[in-house]
Amino acid sequence: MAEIILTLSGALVLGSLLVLINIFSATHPYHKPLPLVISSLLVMSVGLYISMATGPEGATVLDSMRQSTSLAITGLIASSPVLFAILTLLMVRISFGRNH
Amino acid sequence: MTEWWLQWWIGLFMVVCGFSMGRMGPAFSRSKIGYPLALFGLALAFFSPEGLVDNEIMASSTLNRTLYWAIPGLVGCYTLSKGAPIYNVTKPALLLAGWSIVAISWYVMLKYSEPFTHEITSTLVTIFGLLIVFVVHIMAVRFVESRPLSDETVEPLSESEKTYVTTVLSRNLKNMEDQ
Repeated sequence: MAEIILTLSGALVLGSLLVLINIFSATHPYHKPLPLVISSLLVMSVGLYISMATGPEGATVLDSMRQSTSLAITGLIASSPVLFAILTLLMVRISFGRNH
Repeated sequence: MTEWWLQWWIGLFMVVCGFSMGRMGPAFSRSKIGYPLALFGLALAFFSPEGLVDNEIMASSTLNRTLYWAIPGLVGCYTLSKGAPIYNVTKPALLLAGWSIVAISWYVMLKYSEPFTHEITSTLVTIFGLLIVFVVHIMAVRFVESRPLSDETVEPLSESEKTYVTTVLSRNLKNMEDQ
């Protein structure tokens, strides 16, 4: 059960990090990023709090973050065969499907 | 204690960073370095350093095992998308090459990667967590979009942007005339 909660908290941190990196690397003059940054930081804080509470005692914030986020990364990468299967089916459709 | 574990994380961040930059429009010069940056990041993450903790080692090895079949798989799908029939024009050589690469990718995955042995619970929990972040992000975007627009005047197109737009328009108009 602890591992599931740790994975969920890692997914919250990972998702927030993805949003934050995207905001900072794709920022442009017509962007209004502040509310998006604040919401992502809030979700990340919740994830970090949960991972600190669930993780081993005495672990630092960084250690908890590394442990939980890498669990979430493993979970995400593990879904790639299913995604590839869906992609292959789409390729069958565009290769052999009738084009109108 | 060495801090080489940072290389793995920086590599992953560079992948996301590069992909985000690459998705930007051609008016932003950052888009040119996006995909090379993502590839460099992938290389940094692939050659995982010392000092990773347990879960990081597991994530790193899962990533590496996945890359062996995912990269050819994506190349194959890209080739297929180029060879697929568009307006009843098919490119059979590209289709054949694409399906060959996709078949090799499936073979490598099934033979060496043990793809469906990972516990499904953690994958579902991860997707659920990412969905929560996605919903919060959509709510924040809706909030931003609902705010009144500022009165700032938008700057006119630069010379390079004008050239780009003119090139695209003339190319499309020429295509229409040819048809």
